[in-house]
Amino acid sequence: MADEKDAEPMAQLYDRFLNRSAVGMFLVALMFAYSAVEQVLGGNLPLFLNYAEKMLAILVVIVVAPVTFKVYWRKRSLLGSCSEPEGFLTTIFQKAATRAFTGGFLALMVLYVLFEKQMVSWPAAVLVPALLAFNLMVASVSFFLDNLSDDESDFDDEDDLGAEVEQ
Amino acid sequence: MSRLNNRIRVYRAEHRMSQGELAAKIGVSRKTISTIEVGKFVPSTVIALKIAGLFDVPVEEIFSLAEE
Repeated sequence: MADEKDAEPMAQLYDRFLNRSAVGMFLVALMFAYSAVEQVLGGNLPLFLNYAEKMLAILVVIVVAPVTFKVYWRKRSLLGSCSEPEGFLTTIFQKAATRAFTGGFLALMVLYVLFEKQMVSWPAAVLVPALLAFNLMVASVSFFLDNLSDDESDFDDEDDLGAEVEQ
Repeated sequence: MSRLNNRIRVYRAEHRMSQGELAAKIGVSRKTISTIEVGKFVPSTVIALKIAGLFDVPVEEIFSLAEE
């Protein structure tokens, strides 16, 4: 079992890392959103939401940390000779990061243009987590949507392979 | 606007190779191979050359441009 896991190709491991990172970003976005709402409401949130936030933090560590360490150790063991494997998920992850930056920039521009005067009184404790939540949400949702596909048309079955050759 | 056609699936079938096997041989993930096959992902020159090299054919045997 351990050997089977160790034999996981680096590219496959890196894809798993990117998937987990996107899930982690989504969960952190929820935590930032909670933080912003908490500031707005002055801490008058139901107690279970407080526990939910802590659970989210633990979940982030559980989801992201193991695969992150695995990628780190694998890279170290390759003595730095391995660059990030290129591939579909790496590309859509970069695209998601670009969209998050663009979305955040546009959101700030819109806020500035529409609410320039009112913004003076907006507390940073609300604005900063809200923008962080927005950016992370855009990045993770963009990644998930691009990753949704019906392209899992592998044919590992010997008969299918034969049929394909005959065509 | 150009579209990139590919014959990876055909060559895989000829070599009786699954997406996972091909992916492992050229050092990419299975998802990358499946998205290249369906035309959702345009591979880098390096990946294209690795695939062609694996099947021992010129890269233009596998990839071709289709004008839309």
